[in-house]
Amino acid sequence: GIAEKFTPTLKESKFKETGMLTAEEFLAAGDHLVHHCPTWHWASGDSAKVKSYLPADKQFLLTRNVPSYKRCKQMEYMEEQEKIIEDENDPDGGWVDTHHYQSLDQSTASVGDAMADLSLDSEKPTAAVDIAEINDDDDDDDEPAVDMDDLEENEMLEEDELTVDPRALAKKDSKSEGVESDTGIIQTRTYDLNITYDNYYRTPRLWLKGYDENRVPLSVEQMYEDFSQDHAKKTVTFENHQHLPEHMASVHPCRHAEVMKKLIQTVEGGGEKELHVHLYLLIFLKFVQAVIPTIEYDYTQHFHM
Amino acid sequence: MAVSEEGALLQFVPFSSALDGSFWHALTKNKLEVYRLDEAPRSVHGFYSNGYAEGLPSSMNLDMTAFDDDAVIPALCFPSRGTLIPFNTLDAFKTSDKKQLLQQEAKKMWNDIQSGAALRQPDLLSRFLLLCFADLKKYHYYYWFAFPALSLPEKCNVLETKTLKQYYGSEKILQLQQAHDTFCKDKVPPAFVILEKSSTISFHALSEFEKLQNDQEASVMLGFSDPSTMEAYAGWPLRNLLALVTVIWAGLSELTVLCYRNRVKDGRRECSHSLVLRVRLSQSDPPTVFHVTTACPRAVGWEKNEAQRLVPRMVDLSSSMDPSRLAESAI
Repeated sequence: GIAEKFTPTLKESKFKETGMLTAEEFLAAGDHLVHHCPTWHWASGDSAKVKSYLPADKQFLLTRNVPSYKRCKQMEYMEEQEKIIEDENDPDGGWVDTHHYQSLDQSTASVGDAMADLSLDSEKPTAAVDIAEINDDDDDDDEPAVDMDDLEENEMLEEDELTVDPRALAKKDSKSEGVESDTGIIQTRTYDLNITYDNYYRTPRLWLKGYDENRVPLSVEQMYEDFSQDHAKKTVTFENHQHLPEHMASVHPCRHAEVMKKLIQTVEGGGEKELHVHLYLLIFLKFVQAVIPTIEYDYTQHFHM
Repeated sequence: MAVSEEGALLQFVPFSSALDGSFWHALTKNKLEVYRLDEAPRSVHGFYSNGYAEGLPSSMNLDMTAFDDDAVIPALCFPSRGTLIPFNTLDAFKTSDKKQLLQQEAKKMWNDIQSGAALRQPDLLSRFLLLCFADLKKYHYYYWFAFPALSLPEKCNVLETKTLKQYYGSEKILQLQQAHDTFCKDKVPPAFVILEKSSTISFHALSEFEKLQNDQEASVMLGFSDPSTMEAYAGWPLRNLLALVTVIWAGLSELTVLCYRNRVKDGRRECSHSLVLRVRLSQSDPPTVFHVTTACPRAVGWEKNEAQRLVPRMVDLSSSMDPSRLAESAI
């Protein structure tokens, strides 16, 4: 967002007092996460969206193909975890209606703008025009979509008996905890999770992109099924990713610092142990699990809360 | 598992294509700015992992870095080279000679096997073909993946299937894991050789297989990083690896294969669910000798759709890419 762009990067470490991180601390905590949880790795994202306060090859953290075997409503209420993020002094129960912050996030500055820029690029107008001509035959938006079965080539292409049909077998002998549909096929959803550094709130920010078992992106409504119902509509927003040309679900960071401050205090146990900043993201991942209890990402390290 | 004199037919779990939204954005940009109306094949790349969680498909992932030759493959992932053909019309997509395109891609692998390049660099055994037609007015993307596998040997049998846990005790598994890490350091190769000699386990480059195989006091396993998560079946990369074995070590009739799976869960690394297969290669007698002129074997590998039919896929990204639709849904 605009606000983020003009907020100076937090230089001085105050993570215990404020729950906030500097970009350097985010980097250190990210390196620690990648080292201990190798399913996470650094990514650079869209070169047009590189943030100067982080190295180009370490713009955000990413983990892919994280399973979500069950839907949220099938899970037991996670009372233990809910408690952690509750704040008894807060009339909103520790979470805010994110719609208040709409103006800060400029979430409507859309991927679409980028797309429009692409095809209207004044230096290269020919490509867009030519392709438009080529596609002219299905100009009409109301025209029914192409029947994919017309493109079938069962007759022409060779197959062999050495290819396992995973779905037919999953039906028979899977011990997986997946949801069975009417056809008996295991419907394991997967999520790609990203953690970016939000320079406005000076906290990490979690992004999610869900896919069904055929890797078709989930709709917003489908993804809500995997978020804690207490948090879904007020904490999770759909916005432009900070580093990718994509629209994604995001756990809004407006209260992260506060919650993290409390958690850090809990982990430190009233000053008996000293907590180092590199553990920040591990605690953060444990905390966001309350929002996305069905998504089984790796966050390792057993510290007591 | 089936254990008999003849064994059961060795079957393989195919790759499942897994495309990020960012891939389509990058493709759209390239189509508009670089390819334009040129349908010439383009080099892209994907990657797969041997750490997929239980019940998940063997994903071949492509994201926006697929078009970038210098992109770094994520840790614990293995590269796959791909050829993208950006068709201009749905008709061209439909009428393309898919059999021949697949065979062309397979031929590259065949050449790499015969020249010995794939022995030194086993990641050359993983390739894919991606046919694509992007309807940029509607944000509809039609695509079809093929993961070419050489039908060589035509078929072979698995005499025994065990999990690594059944094959090795937990102490030995730990030893194997350490040997794996020592061997790999930063870069994990997709195929390797595991040697067990006087109760020491060590990993070696694929090219050392023959030499190690001749050591009478050692037991040798052929290993590969396995994207499959199925309890009884190895993943697709084993197919072309066995093709290489058949060509390079003609005459080998039986071998033990470690399908190495390496999962991280709750901060703990786990490889005991890896599979150990005893494989009988159905060799002709005397063994066929493959020459440079030997024709490339038949290739298979077109990806099926959800209904297990040979139909391309289509993804409608209008809700996430179409400016007018985005304006409507903006919260």
